[in-house]
Amino acid sequence: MADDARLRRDLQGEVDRLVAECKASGLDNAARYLADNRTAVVEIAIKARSEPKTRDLPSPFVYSMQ
Amino acid sequence: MKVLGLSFGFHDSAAALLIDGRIVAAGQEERFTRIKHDAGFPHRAIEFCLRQAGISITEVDRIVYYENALKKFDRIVWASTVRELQKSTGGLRDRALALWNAATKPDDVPPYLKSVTHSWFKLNKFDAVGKISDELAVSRKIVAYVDHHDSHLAAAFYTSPFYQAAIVTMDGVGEYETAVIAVGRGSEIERKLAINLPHSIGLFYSAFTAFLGFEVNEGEYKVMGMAAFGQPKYYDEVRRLITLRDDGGFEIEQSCFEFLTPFDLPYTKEFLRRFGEPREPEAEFAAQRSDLPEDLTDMEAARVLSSSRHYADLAASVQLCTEELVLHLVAKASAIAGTRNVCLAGGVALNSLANGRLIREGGYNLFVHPAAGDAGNAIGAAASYYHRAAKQPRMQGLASPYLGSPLDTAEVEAAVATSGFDAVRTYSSNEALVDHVAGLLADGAVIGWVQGQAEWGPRALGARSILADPTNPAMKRIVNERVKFRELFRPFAPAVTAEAASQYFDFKTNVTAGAPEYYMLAVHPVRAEMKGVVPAITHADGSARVQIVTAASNPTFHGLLRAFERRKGVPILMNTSFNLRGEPMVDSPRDAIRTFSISGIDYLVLGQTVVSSRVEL
Repeated sequence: MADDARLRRDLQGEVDRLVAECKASGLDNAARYLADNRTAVVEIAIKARSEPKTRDLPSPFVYSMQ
Repeated sequence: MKVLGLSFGFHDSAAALLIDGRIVAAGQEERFTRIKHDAGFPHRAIEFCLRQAGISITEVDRIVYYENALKKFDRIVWASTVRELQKSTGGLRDRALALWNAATKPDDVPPYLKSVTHSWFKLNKFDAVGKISDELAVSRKIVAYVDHHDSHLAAAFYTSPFYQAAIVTMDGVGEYETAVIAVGRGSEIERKLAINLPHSIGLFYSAFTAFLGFEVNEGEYKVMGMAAFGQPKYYDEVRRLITLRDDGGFEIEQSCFEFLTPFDLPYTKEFLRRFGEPREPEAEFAAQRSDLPEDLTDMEAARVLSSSRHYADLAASVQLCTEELVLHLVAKASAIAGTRNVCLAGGVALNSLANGRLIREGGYNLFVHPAAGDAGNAIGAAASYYHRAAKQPRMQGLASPYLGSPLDTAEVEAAVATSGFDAVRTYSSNEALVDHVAGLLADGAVIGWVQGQAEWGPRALGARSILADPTNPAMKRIVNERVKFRELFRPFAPAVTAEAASQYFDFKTNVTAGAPEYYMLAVHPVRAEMKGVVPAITHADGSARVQIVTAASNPTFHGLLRAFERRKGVPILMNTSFNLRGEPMVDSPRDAIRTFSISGIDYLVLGQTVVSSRVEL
């Protein structure tokens, strides 16, 4: 539980840093998305970081764009 | 000044080291890890570069990543927003945006954006600088990044032999940009025009690559190869998808493609309505009845031949339209720059058919960076930083494509000793070696040829090559079936001595050192009177993707070509990459022994040592 709370805290901090960095770089789309949807983004990030690090990549076409 | 350029995270990870304006080493991660198109952090390639220079990571002044990760994410958010708006109408437009504003649950985020956000956090893609700092245990302060197409521009221009040139970069997509026109002069690069997503010639070609049953980022060469068997019967339909603008730019008709938020396939139902059913991956392809198994019924054979013709016609149409678009971009770039010197990079610059037309029909002095795709951006990132941020004088151009792993004699001895092959002979002189190998080739043997430092870029240029006799009409089928295990329609390229090249191939111009023909990056017609002389390297349309070899650039390989000429009267060898289907090119002696032992290669040459798969040498 303590680990879960710390992961959440860490990722909230990471999203806030990303928002600040995007704003500073004039990347308004990313800044607005990450800031306006912070709660959902943090939930997505927690799930992503909780999964094993496998190479489950999308199709080469999609991957080359992401 | 020591600058390490890195490309990783998407495909074709690589590292390159620039010291005081000289490229000391460059390597692609896949060659070391043996994972084709490896996208992982390039630890092994970095180790190789540092080892070549004899320095440690602490001695590197600057590490430069090849693109702006956050800007790329900004584009993904933008593309997702546009897509949501396109799907909605009227009052629904506001609702579409509101749907993912202030989302509290992941499912409130549009599926594509949710998927990308998930994978970016999982793979830690947001903070490339932090990742590099962590992985290499260096301060963030020495890590920088440059934009994706700035890396391509730098790779194209700074490694070229030109003081002044037009520069054109073309790929799938970087951050937002898919193509850029710029002018290079000395150490300066000035951008003139940029084309942004969703208009992308790289994605356009990739979409048809997928439709034709090939893997994207891998099968584009196969589309080029297939095009030779067809006629551009669908030219009008394909050409209607492209609008060429007067300013040199272009637009791609979007109703047929899904370039903004692709989940799997890059084309739409409208595309299928216009072009029919996609070709099944691995579907049989044949140009004539004799290419098919004898036990196939006439009805089945007719079906395969008809289907093959249809898809080849489509490939020919797509290729022709792509060439026209590339010619359009380069013509504008050349006019803007006021010079016929042209530098190309980006994945589309590997379209060797288009490059051949630029040289023959456009009369351009062309330079194509040999690793024109994203691997080459390791050099590009380092070069861009070196000139544009550090304001250093113009670096040396690319002196040689042999920037990869050297062949170590002790490694050769160790690999051979543990290989289980008993028939081994080592030569004390190059002359004796090439004379012996030329004799084997003339007698019909297929040779695995490993010499010196490995090539930079996707083409085998006589350092990690499979070689065979081009005068034997059966050799194409033998190497495709027995050695490479790949599709029979795919052509093989020739390596030819510089002295004799124009006797066999119609370049329509004087080819100078450093031109695409030196890196096997341009297709030209085989002269009519020579097609019957070298049938194994003459493709279905009478063309060949030529590599010119000089005594200065690769003396041993050049010596082999001359020795073969003394045996067979032809200074040409069939030259294909030393790998099996789906694998990266071999790098080390051990890789070569392994591939040799499981393929139909007759002899393996590792430096001065010849290993035979037969009992006697």
